[in-house]
Formats: sequence, C-alpha cells, structure tokens
Amino acid sequence: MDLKTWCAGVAIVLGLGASMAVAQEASPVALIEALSPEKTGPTVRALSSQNALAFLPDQPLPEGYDFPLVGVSVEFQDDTHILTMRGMRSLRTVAVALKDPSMQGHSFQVAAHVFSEKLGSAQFPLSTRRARAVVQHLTVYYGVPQEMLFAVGYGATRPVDRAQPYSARNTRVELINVSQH
Amino acid sequence: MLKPLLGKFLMAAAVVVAGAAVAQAEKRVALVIGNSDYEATGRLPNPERDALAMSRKLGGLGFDVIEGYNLTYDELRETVRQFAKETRGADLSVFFYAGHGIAVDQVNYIVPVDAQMNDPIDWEFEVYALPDILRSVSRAESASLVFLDACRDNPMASQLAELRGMSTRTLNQSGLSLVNPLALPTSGSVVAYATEPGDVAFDGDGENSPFTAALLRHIGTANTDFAVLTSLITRDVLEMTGGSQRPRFDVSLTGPLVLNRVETVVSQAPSVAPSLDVEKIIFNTARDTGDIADYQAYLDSFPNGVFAVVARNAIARLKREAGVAEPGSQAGRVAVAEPELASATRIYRSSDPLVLPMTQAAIGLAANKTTEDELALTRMQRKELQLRLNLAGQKAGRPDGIVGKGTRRGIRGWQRAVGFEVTGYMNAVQYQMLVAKTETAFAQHMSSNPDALTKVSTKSRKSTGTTKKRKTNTTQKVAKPQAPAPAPKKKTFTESLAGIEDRVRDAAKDAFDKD
Repeated sequence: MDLKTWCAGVAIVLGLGASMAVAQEASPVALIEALSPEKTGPTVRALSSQNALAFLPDQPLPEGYDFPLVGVSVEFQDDTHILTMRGMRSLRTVAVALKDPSMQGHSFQVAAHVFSEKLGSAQFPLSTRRARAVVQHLTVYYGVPQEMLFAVGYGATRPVDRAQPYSARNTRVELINVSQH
Repeated sequence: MLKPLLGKFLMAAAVVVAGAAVAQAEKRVALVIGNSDYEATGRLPNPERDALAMSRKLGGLGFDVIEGYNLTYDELRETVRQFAKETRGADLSVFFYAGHGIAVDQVNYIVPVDAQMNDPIDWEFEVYALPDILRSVSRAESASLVFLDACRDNPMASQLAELRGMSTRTLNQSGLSLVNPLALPTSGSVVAYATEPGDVAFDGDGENSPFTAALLRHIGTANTDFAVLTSLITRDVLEMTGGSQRPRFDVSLTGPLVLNRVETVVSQAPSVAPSLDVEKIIFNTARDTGDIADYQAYLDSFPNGVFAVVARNAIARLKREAGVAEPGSQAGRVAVAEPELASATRIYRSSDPLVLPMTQAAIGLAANKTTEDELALTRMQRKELQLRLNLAGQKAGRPDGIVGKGTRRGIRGWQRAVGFEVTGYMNAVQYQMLVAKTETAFAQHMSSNPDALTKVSTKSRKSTGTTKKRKTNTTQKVAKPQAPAPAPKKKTFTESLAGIEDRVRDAAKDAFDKD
C-alpha cells in the first residue's frame, strides 16, 4: 500500500545526463531561483522542525524530502570523471550562480549518479570521482569556497526513471541546497 | 444559512462588477468549491463563504464560474465533469477549493462533506483525488491557476492515520503535499497553497480564511502581473496570522499573466507605471518595516528592480546588525562587493568563450602518477591527450595511445608553457585546462580528420619505430637541442636552460623506460 514517495514541485530539472544531444545551459538566474530556500523555504523549515538534522550534508540525503534541488547537465568523457568542454561550460554557469550574493552562507551538495550496466561495481566509485571533479573544478578555477560544497557519489542508488535503470536520464549531477538554517 | 438558497451548484454567468472594464475577449472558466458542512467532523464556518466570495470575484474578472457548495462525493464528481466540458477552448482556467484536504502517499485528496473516514480500506472511495481534477484543468490549452485553501486542521487525518497504522511520512497528518508539476498544463500554471505543504492553515476567525481574504483583496488588482500579486498575498497572510501561516506559490508561467487588464483612458502613464508603482509600494513597505523578509519579498518579485541593489545592501546590513554576518566577510566589504557581483550575473553570457584562469589553487594541486592513474584513461582517451598536447604546440609524438617518454615530454613542455609545476604527469584539473585551451584546435582537427582517434593507422606504428630508433640517438639529441615548438622564438637564458635540463632528464629516463 505504501507508495514510493517522490519529490514534486521543488525540483526543476534543467537538463540531465551526459549523453544528451543538446546540453541545455541554464542561466545563472534560473539556477539561483531553483536553489533559493526562499522559494522552498517552508519545506526546509518544516523538515528541520519535524526531523531536525536528520541528514548530514556530506552523506547521501534521505529520500522523500524536498530539498531545493536542481539538475545540472555536466558532461564527462565516456566513463571517466574528465569534464568535457560542454561540461565545463555548464559549470561556469553554476559558478556564477554560486557566487551570487544571494547564495552566500548557503551550502550545497554536489550529487553525482552513475547508472551503467557494464560498469557494475565501478558505478559507485565513478560517481564519487565525478562529484569530486565538479567540486574541485568549481573551487580551483572559480574560487567557490571549499566549505560551501560537499561532493557525494550516489552510485546507482537513486534512479529518476525507475522503470529503466540504465536510461541516460539516471546518470546525472544535481546541486542540492543543504543549508541548515 | 446560505446553503439552501444557493443550491448545490449553479452556473453563474459572468457577473460584471461595476468599475472593472472586462473587455477580455478570451474565454475564462473557473471551478469554485467550498465545503463547510462536514457530516463526520462538524462544520467549518468559512469555506462556504470563501467560495462564494471567490466566485463573485472571479465573475467580476470575466470568468464563467461553476460553483459547488457542500458537495457530496457524487455531486463533486458531477461538478468536475461539468467543469471539464467547460474548459474546452478556454484561455485561462481557475480552480479554487476551500474545505478539508488530505494528503496520503503524496497524493492530495479533496474531502467531500459525506466522507466518514472511519474505514481503513474504504476511505479511498470517499475522497476525491486532486489529480483527477487537475487533469481536466490541464486538458485546456491554457494557463491555469489552482488555489488550494484546503490544509485546514483535519481531525480525519489523525483518525485515518490511526486506522491504517501509517507513519506521518506517508500521511501528512495535516495539510496537503505538493502537486506534481507534470500533471499541469505546459502552457503555464500557478499552484497556490494556503500554507506550506504539510502545515495547517487557519480557518480564520473573520468572515474569510486569511488566505482567501488576501486572495480576494489582491486578485483583482488592475494591470498587475500575477507573479507580483503573489508577494502581496503572502505578505497579507503572514501579517494576519502573525507570521505563522505562509502561503506557497508554485509559479511556472511562461509569460506575464494579468487577471484584470484595464485599458486606462486617462493615459498619462505608460504601461510601465503600474508595475513601478507596485514596485515602489513593496519596497517602501520593506523600508518601513525594516524586515529582512520584506526586503527579500521585494527582491523575489523584482530581482533586477530599481531598488534591487538598495534592498540587497539593506539585507546585508540588517544581517550584520543581527549578528548573522557571514563568516569571513568584514563589515564594509559586503556592501561594496555585492552590487559588483550582482551585476556580474547580469553581464554574464553563456556564449562567451570559456577561458579557465590560472589560479594558485590549480597550481598547488599535485600531479603525479597517482593522480594520472585516477583519470583511468582508455587507449582512445590517451590518444586524445597526445593529440591535444600536439595541438597545444608540444611534441608528444604521434597519437598512438601509448604513453611513453614522448608523451611525458609533451606533458612537461605543456606544464612549463602554461605555468604548472613540471612533473610530466596529469591530474584532473590540468587535463581540464588542456581541454579548454585546445578545444578550438581540437574541433578543427577532428572535423578534418574524423578518424584521428579511432583508427590505429600504419603511420602510428611507424612512429613507434622511430621512437625506438631515437632511443639510440639520445646523445645526439642532447647535443643538438631543438627549441620546443610552442614557446616564443626568443627565450631567456633560464628558459633555454630548463629546456635542456628537461631533455637530459628525458634521455636519462629513456634508458630505463621499457615502453
């Protein structure tokens, strides 16, 4: 009887996965909007009152809660954590958004998901490396404060498309506002 | 009692309220439902009044309104069916519901007045799933507004939770959960909740519930985008409830939506004026209250508004005063830096060429065998690395995918040219820099040699041969140093020296390199 809970409303997914034909570049403004707790503040506040600090920002987040979340289309070379040019372009947009004054004092989890049948047990370490590569790129080249970002690899645990686990949609990178205010 | 007089549902043909010039040629339909007389749990005084007032208001705004009061399950079903027919060809549709609502497993249900909610299995047949109503709204090729003033404290919810032994996780004890945005029309929609999902809305002590009262007050504001109205409504509700109830708007409109468009005859003010007026009003309110939330409300509506910079500064100042200054940010600095950053977001263009800056952080990162192994380059990717090094002006040898001394030399030369520590090994960040710097050349090369990275050509095998040969000629190479290709022709003495050192190291390594 218990149906799977899933996030609705808050998540605007702006483009997913590595193998998208046309990687959509979101504008920094759209990213800021999606990640601002002001838009979703109630949910976050409700969360902290009901279930205070039930999550750690540097660990996989519990399922079923609405965090301000945005999918970022970050492209990597094949099965590596090497960013492609397109991937780096997306991250430039992300960097602009993260450095906006409205994002000051917030912290974000960079969540990487990898779904690949042939990788098997390598899915998890690859997702971790990808998350780290994204964080490293943002901190090293754009000076985004290290303490603002948490890299977390989810491996193949949280599909978006549950019916087809190896659908390209499932391999993705998300930015999640995990500020605890 | 209003109920018997009004009948259970009636069609109200657009009632034109005096004053508002309803010149809209577009078709607007609305479904307004208010459930007050609950058989099982007693009466909620306000929903009926709320719905009545709302349907009058919407009628005044040129809507064909279908009203329903105190509907039983069967009546609700019939009303929705009628509404679904009406939405055909509509340009704008509105659904308003006041009464009990319940959310189970993330699905919202509207509770009809005859629901008993005392059976753990039967309850589903007693309530009406909101998605079923939204589907009929979304069939219209139009924008839609959904107002749910339905999260009133619900005794049935706790009753139900006990019966089913459900956790609060699957059943929102009180209040509704968010509506799946996919269920709504793509042409733009607004879903408004009287309160935060999962929270309880007040029924109110007055004539109307706080949410409906605020809605009624502002929805008819002339020539104002709905997005602006949302902040006014939010403000009012917060005020009326002493900050304990905060409505939520999920706005996904594709363009401005003006519910009450009034063509002013006295046209001394162009169309900019109304929105500037509103902007001023909201900003002045914020300045009067001096509340961070009010400034934020202004920024939400007018992120690039006339007073945006002032508002941001005010927020920063207030935060500082309240002692919540961000760590590391000294007083004065915030105010100066913020407008600069704010304008940076605006002037940013995603089409600009990507240039990664050399930073101290990038230089400081280790690049050694471990970091390179971590990249786990495949043969093809190693070829690409070699090709990119060559395109960057280095001599990494023919791209054969075998990383030997030629490739190492190429990496060292590139590291020196760019300003990294010269190690001969890659790391992720350096590889990103290499990709960024060679992308144009790489794209050109690939378009003229589409097979460059896929085929192992005979040439590349030959090149392996030459590599071997060169091994025997190392002494000659040291004796006859050739200037590395990329660097400017004129070099300083230390630079040339570094080049020779490098080559000597190459030669020494070659002796051991069994590649």
